[in-house]
Amino acid sequence: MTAIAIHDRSTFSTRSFSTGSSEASQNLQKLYEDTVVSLRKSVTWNYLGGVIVALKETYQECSEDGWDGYGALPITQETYDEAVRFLNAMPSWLPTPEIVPEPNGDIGFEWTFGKNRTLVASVDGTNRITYAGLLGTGNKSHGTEVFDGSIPQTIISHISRVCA
Amino acid sequence: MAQFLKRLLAIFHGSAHKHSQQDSVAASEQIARYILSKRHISVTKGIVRPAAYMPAPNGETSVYRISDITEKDVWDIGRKYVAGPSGRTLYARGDTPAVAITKTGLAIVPETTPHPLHANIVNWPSEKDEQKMLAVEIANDATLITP
Repeated sequence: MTAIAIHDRSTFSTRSFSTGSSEASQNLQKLYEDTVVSLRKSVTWNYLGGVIVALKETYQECSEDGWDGYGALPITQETYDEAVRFLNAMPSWLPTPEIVPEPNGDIGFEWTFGKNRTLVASVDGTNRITYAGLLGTGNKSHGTEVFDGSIPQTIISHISRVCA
Repeated sequence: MAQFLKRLLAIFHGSAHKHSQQDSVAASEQIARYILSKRHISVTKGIVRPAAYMPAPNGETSVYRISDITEKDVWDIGRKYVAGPSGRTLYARGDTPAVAITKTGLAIVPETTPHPLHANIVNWPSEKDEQKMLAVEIANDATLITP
């Protein structure tokens, strides 16, 4: 009998603990990877579909100087591309954000769940995430994190707090 | 009698304008931020988003002092002096008491161009995350008003 052990079921990882070297084992591993990739694509689309559309629209609306009537800087292609990577890196169990353009040309991601419960994070095409939030009455936090392709734990934790 | 009352009202209205444009901004004054990007508000949630208050590239946020004028005049100023020059739609405004802004450490400075009631929010910190934090705090206290 040939079997593989799944590494992490919660994130649809393609990694598995496969020690087999037979043709059957390799075929099974390949079948598993194809299934995960296919499943991940459909889940990501369902999860992010509306947000990706909003992101594209925002990019189109805000790609010229002064889009807010007050001299705002345009959103660049680099910033847009980084925003796409940010959304694709978000764990699917988190609520989707609203897309909010910022006057400095950043693309912001906003989670608001009532008074004193707001988190805003933004990207600017330089692999940096700037964030600030009210995490319940009397609690606030702000800072900058490196964006290396995965969402920093600090930001995941803050999103979890505002939507709890 | 009606004529007399109208004149009296005009005199009072005029002196109130003069008063507000000459003095520093009082903590109790109402401050309006006109919003020309639909993505800076959520009508369904009834909120002004923090990005609406973030400073422009010149380091200031343009606002108007609206305590002494009628609701109609507030919208007229927005259309004529804010939306009009840029040819954009005026979607809404965010109203806050001045203290909601000054308690964060920012200042509101009268700057009577292009209108006597115009002012700027100044003294923004240079770091982006600090700017964002203050904008989040102001928006948290703002009231969304739609035309």
